Amino acid sequence: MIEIKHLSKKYRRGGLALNDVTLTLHEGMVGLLGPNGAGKSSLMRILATLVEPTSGEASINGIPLRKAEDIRKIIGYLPQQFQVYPQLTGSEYLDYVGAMKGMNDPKQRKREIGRLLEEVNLQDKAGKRVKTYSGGMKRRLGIAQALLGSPQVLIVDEPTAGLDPEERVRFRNLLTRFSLGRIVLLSTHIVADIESNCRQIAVLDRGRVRMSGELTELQEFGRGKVWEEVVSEEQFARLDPMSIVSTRRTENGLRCRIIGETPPAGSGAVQVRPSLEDGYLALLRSGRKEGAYSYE
Amino acid sequence: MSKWWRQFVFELAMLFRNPWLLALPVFFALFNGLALGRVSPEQNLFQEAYNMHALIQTMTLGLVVFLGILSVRRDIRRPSYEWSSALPVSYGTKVSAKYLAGVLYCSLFTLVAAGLYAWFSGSQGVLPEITREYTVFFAMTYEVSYLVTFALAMLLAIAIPNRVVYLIGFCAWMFGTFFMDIFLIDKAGLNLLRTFHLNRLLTMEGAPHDAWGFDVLGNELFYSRMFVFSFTLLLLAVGVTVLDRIRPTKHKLAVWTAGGLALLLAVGAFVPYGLIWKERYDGYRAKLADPGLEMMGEDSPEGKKTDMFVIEDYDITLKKRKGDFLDLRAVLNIPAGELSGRNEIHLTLNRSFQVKEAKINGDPASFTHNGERLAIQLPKAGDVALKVEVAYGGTLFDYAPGFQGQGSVYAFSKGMSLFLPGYIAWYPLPGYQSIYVKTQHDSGIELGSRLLVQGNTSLKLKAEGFAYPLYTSIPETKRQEGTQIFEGQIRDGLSLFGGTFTELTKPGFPGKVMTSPYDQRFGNLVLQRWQDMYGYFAGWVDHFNPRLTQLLYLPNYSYITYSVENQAYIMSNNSYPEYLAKIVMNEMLLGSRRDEDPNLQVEEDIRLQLRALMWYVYFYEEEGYSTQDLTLGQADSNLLYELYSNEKERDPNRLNLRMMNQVGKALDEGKLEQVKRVLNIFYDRGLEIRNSDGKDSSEDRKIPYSEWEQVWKRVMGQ
Repeated sequence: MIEIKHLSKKYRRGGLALNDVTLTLHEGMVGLLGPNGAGKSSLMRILATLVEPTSGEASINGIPLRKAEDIRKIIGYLPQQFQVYPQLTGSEYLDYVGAMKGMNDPKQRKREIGRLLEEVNLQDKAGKRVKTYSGGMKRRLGIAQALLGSPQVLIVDEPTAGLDPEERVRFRNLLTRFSLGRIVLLSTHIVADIESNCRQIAVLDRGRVRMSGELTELQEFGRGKVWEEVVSEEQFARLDPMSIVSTRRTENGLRCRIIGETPPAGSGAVQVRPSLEDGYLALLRSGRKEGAYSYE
Repeated sequence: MSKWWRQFVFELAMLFRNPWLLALPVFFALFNGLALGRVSPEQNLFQEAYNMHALIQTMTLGLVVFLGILSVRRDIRRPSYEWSSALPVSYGTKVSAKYLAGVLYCSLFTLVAAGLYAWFSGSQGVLPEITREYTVFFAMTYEVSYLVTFALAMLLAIAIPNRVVYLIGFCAWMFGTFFMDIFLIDKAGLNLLRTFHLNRLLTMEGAPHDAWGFDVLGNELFYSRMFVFSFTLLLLAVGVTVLDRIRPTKHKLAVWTAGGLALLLAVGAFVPYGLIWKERYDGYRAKLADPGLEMMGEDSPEGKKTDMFVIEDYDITLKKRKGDFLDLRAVLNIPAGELSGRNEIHLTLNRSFQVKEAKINGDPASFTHNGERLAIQLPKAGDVALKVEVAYGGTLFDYAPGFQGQGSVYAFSKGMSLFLPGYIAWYPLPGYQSIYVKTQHDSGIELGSRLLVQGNTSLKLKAEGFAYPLYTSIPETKRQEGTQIFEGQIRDGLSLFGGTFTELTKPGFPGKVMTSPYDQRFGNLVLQRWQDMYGYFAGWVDHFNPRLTQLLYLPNYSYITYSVENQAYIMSNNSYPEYLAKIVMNEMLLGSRRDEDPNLQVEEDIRLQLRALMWYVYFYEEEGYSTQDLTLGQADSNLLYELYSNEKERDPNRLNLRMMNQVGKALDEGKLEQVKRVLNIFYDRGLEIRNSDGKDSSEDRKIPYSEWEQVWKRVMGQ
């Protein structure tokens, strides 16, 4: 379990990246959702013991953050930006990481590296130098290094960036399998990444927690606020662009999915069942209208 | 440990798998080998290697700075390598592994430099222990520089998480090697900062050499290295502390404590190093503040000499005690009448010595010793001969900072080395003489007087307790284990040398050469040529009277400025063997011309021309020059100059040319033996131009041109 209490982070030359964040994250896959700049990466870096919080407390499986060395032994971390020594081969790199994680038995290390390379579909490239890898392959290697040593807690920051659709699916399934009996904290701003696999979700915006709970709770934020209607191109031009969730061209015009407390004025909009993304967007919009969590 | 080892192996792989980095030591070896391979027998291998390494090591330090920065920027403090910071590895492990791997790579250059030096040194036939000493010196100097430079570069990269650190590293390299030397150390005179210089070879110019090893630096090198080691530790500790300030750790207190301890260690290590310089500067400033020191002036460039008197003989006992302490007792016999009318005797004795006791004719006498001025009360016993005894002792490291380089050590006794030049007044000199003079505006101290003794004095010196043989400019009459006795006449001061000298001799030849280990090849070349020339002159000069039999050839040591001292020729400047052999042979055969009168008419004294004619015959007979070649000046012009010189004031009738032509014509006519007979006659009259004392001056031994004509006619007419 990850317990976060009143955690704040203020950077020397920036604003408040995290503002009084309190969260309790349980076993399983946990999605951390939020727009760019919401503070997701800051929270993950704090949990990965890379930076110290300005105030507040957090513990991972009962180990407080101040015992950073102990936490590092039980976590795996994949940052948003990921590069590897280009002169090493994939398996050499993983072997180094395994040794650094305390996997002292070379045979066991080799076995696990082989398994992981297969899991991330890099078994054929294991002997090639990393400098020959594509961006997606490097990303997969990053995932493998984070999973190496079967950490109790996996912290992955925007892990699917740069992956093709097939790899994304494969990756989601891998994380889901891995999350059995463990905590996998996955940050993303892509709702689809967490829609199918996460049991728990937390939404961060501008450094604050907007909601925390199950996926259906987030979806519920959109109830009664999602509308669909077919409009002409002239009508489309008059719509508030910030309220449009999606647009699809049909034979009768443009079918728009719109978020709002009320249906768009003077139209034949029909209220529809909200998706997770609708709930997420409705939550963010409501927060911004309230202005309740502006930056300090 | 396994993590550390793995990290270390990983860092090594990062360096040793790079073909460019592997190629660099090979290039370094090639350059090094070529440079040392080009050192000729006339050159001093150590000095040549030193000069080369001073430059080439500075170049490699640029690479070290680059690698130090690169080792950190490879992963630490790079956002895209943040994953590595989440691994359960401490920064202490990472930094130390990176550091040791980097230093190990740099040590390849050290190995190459030391290995090649050892090989070239060994192939010159230098004793293994000497080779080992200087090889270790180069290896240590390289390694210490690499240790601190790599740590500095790592700290820069840790503190500046931006690519601009490469530029800053370049500036640090430039400043730490070239600019620091020029602006901070030399121009501002902040000698204390030498230890911060990244390349110590550049800051010791002129100081270390193979005659006195590194003793001349005293303990400076040792304490400097101790400080650099602890400073390196401090740099690394600060680096780890900075990193652990950024990334949380539960060992914060331990990290800060380690940083604090490293700081204390560095400060503690600086103290003994700083005290060395304090001691040196204290002595120097005491001289500067001494109102008794004369100002160097145009009328008296070497200071004044007052109350001079004749000392009939000296009996000096010198004992070396523990801690480089020199214990001395000098007995001076002064003829009756020399000090008539005086109530105290004035002597000059270096201020580094403390006078313990003074006696006149066996009775204790009161004395004062201010600066170099030693005054002993005389009893009122009339104009009798006096036996003056002075017991004194002290340690000696007479330092004067210079405007460039390490400065000068005018005299010292340290470890296995001894350098006591006569002009430093290490034994009581007659009268008050200016050993030191202040330069204009009290800006510095220089050596003053070089008169030293009045007339010929006999001297006996007994030296005890030295683990190595001493050399001086009078004959050594006895050498037993730990004891040497020297006896002879001194016309100059008496200098005493001790160190790792090599004594070169040849059977049946009275001359010998004392030189440093790396000038042995040069010394042998000189000795061979000297012997050849000696053989030639001894073959026809009937009453050959060798004026000197020793050559002390010391490496380039800028403040040994004199040449002939008593029966030795002391040379410090690098020269050609042939040239030096001729100079020494000239002094051996003909003695000094130190007291020649530059205004004296040739008609009144032809000794300079006669000296040149001796060499004229040598060049004709031994080196095969024709008289025409010699007339055209194709042989050594220095030795024959007096035959060609065209000084109308001194020689309006060109008597010198006339003499040369006379001899040339006679030689062409096959009258070589007659010419030699003429020259033998004048040789027996004495061709040395030296005021050995006030009574038998050079003036009294002049040979007028008219005498030449008489002798020439007489011999050639036979």
